[in-house]
Amino acid sequence: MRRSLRRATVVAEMQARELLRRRTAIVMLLALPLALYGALAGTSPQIASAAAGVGLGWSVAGAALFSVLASRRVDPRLVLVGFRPFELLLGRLLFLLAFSMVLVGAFSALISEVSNAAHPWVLALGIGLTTVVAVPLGLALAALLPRELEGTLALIGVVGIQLALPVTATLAAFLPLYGPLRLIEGSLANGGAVAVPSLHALGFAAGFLSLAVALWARRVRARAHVPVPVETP
Amino acid sequence: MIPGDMTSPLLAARGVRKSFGCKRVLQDAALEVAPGEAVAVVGENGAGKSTMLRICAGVLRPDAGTVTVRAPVGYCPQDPGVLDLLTAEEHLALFGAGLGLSRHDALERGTRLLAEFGFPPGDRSVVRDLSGGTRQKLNLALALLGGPRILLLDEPYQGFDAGTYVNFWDHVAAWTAEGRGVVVVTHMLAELSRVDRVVEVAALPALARAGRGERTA
Repeated sequence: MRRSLRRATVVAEMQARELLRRRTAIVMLLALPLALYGALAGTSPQIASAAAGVGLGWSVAGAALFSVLASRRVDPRLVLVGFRPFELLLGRLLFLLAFSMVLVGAFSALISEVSNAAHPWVLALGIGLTTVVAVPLGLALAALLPRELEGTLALIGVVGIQLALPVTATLAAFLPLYGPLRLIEGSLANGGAVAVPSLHALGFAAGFLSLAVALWARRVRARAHVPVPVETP
Repeated sequence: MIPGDMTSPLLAARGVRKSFGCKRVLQDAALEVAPGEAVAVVGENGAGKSTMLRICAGVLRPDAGTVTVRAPVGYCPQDPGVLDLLTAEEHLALFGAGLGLSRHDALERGTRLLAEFGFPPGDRSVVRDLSGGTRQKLNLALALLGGPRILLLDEPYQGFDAGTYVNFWDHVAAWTAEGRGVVVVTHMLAELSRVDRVVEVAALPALARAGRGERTA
């Protein structure tokens, strides 16, 4: 396990180096949720804050999607030299979650201040869980649809439906960001339930992550070699 | 010389069949490489040379057939399997981590390999900014980083200048002298005198798509 974690840390480091060299992409990652929040600021604080949460999830899921797609030709080689498929995804997950936490802190502070959140910690939890769901969502979509156009369209579809449906709609409970959005909206009013929406989010995150690991392992694992004892040079 | 059994084939692929959709690319294909042997795989475009090498490397599943390997494999794909926004050193650190090398060892070994192929010393450009030939040198160095006994090289010299190209075939001779088995997919028929055996992958007939010749030179 320590060995896997060490390898995943190297993958996370390289992922960080790659993303930090994409300055425009970083600006876009910040601009998308900010633009949604700003565009809906004239409506109600709940709607604007929920839109910011969905926008942040969209940004982070997009970053996760493209982190996998950019590596899809390299990952089989990395598996060939000894990486396990889950170590590659774990590395990306670790970096993207760490990176997301910076955004979560910034957006929690901003929304809390501008929209006068009654329960700032619930707001931070909601925004944090948005990214906890969104990163595995991006990884799973990349593993399921390993082409830029198909993966991006699927992500737009999921996030678009999430944006279009009010959190009170029956169908909304079956969408991945339902839990975080309940928390965000609750944080601006009476607080509301915390445990159920949090578990909803964690359940989706675990499901997406399992799907991503299973599918990616199938795509990149070296295979069909007859197991003959390998001589070490 | 790398120690190990010098008589059994290092890699033996038999009865390999592969289709992409309804197009059959390989039918009953075979490939073997022994320790200290250099094998050239030749054939026209689309005949399935790269597919065969990918199956032998273990990065592509065949529909049927077996691939037996007795030693670690180093695989250099035709399309450089590298990351656009990482430098050569970062690639060495990443691949080294997979091989279980410390970062220091990976950089030391990798830098030596890159120098052998004439990679510009100290170049910290990201791969995206490298020329095609320089990128290919990195691609080749990554395949060799773990010191594999089996080398599967898919047109590894693309973009090389004339000097580096000649140097590459000298390296093939040196690797086989060390006891490695080297398979090179090549279109450079003028260099076939520098290998021990030539295997031709013949394109399947458009309709029948069955029967695959192997010719040993």
